[in-house]
Amino acid sequence: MSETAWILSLGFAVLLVAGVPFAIALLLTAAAVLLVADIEPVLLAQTLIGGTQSFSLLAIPFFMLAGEIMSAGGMSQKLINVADVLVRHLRGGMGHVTVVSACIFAAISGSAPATTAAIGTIMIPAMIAKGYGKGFATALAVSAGVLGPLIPPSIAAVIWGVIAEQSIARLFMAGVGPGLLLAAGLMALTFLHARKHEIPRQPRASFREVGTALREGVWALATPLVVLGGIYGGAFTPTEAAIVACVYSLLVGTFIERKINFGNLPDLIVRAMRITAMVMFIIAASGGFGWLVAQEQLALKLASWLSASITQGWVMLLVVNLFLFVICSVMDEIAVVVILGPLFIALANKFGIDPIHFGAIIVTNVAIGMAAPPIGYCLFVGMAISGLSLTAVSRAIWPMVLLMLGVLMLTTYVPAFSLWLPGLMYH
Amino acid sequence: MRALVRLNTIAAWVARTLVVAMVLVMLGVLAAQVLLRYVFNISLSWSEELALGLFTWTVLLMAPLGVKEGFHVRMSLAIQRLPPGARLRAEQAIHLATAAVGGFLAWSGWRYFADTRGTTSAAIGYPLELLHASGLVCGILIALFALEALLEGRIPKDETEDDSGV
Repeated sequence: MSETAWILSLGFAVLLVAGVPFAIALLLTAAAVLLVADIEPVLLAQTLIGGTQSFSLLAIPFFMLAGEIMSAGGMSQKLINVADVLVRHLRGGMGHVTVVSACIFAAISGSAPATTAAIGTIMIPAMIAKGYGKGFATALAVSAGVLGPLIPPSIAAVIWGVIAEQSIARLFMAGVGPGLLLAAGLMALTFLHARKHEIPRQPRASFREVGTALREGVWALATPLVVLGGIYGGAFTPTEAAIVACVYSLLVGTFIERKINFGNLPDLIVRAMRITAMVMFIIAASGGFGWLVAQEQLALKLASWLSASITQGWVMLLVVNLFLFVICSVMDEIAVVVILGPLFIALANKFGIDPIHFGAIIVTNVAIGMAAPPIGYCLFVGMAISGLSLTAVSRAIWPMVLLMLGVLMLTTYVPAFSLWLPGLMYH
Repeated sequence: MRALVRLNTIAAWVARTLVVAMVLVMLGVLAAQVLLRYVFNISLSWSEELALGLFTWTVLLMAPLGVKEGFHVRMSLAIQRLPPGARLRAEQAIHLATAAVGGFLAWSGWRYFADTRGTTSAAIGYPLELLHASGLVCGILIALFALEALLEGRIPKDETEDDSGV
């Protein structure tokens, strides 16, 4: 390997293990290579700015902001009220309410931590009050957050769509199957947990209660219809859908719920932009790094070596899944996908895997990484809400993680599972 | 040190205020684009270019705030197991490296800014150095905020310690 290849691989790995933030490590490695290889230093600023010049990526801050506005504007509570009157009477009712409201919220926000924060803040204390263990309640809200990037819209799908140059709308649809199966699985786990611990059922909601919840929640329930109906009706792009979701939530939160005003809007924007900057700085910083990796043909060489060692597609997919599960448990999922994206794409092309199917596998891996211990954004959000330690949440979440791995295996080895809906819609 | 802290406090306030203003402009412009296209059948040729320029600025202004507030994600499993003295030295080395890369980015950003001076954007025709100055500003802010953290001997909070409850 050349000197620059060593810096790009080993040097970068050392910086990560030493605790340097991902984006800074990407910039440091790229700067070191520019100096060592005597390449024009202007490349760093040029690729950093270029990495943010994508209209598709502009969806990220606005889906984040829509989630923040929905929570602050009281619309998340309205969604939970609707889910409550519909499923609370089932065994494990409060757990089902958590999963169903996360599904609806996921159809607006597209972010796993935002979903866990919006639903978990209300549902974790509510579940504990109804007799659920703190660990189970936290683990369920954390796992329900994983539905955020699976059920469209999805920030993870936006990022993968940009990296792999694939249709973001098709990638959104490919996440529906895995998302709905995970939701059903989480509800089944809740049912078994409630039966085992004899958690009493809630009384069935009367028609009047259902009517009231639906009437009060109509504005919140209309949001996913506006967002997804707009994208798939051809009215607007995913980025414009994020804008529409923001404006709609802002209007409802200000004029109907009367909980948003010009005083609290800047705080909501700063909160959304913090997470956006966290993600976008990694993407932008990987521009220069990726350019240098491409110059060295590292991804291509590694993909060639891997495809020479592995002769069957199913083995390659198993290796990719195992690798992602392990690496995402210690590294930021988005950073992994952004940095290793070219390698994965080269591998998928070598084995002739459908790019939308492969995108669904990657997005499912990213979503699982958000909740799998010891590092996962949803995990930290859940811990902050319940006050539980990482060990306690990790112990409680393992059944859910096994369920997620089952969904991942289905997504990987039954392509129709993720491809039926995009196929149906774009036939 | 006190002067640096004061300068950084002002710079952070200005950056945050600009980010809020830019997000509101992006929101307004892109909402107008959708509205005008579907209600009045009018296409805006400049809205996406303006929004993208502001997006670059918001990301590159917010990212240095991540250095100041310590919100950039990292792998802290190894560093948080070090004894307190070694941990402090390791954190200071990271702040120093961050300040150095901020300096390098500022230099690179200045070169990019100077090299492309006089060019204009495709749709609006605004001078592209307005966009390209974002790399320079981002580098300077990263260097300043990292320098403050270095002199202060700041240790970022570990993610796994967050059990404050809500």
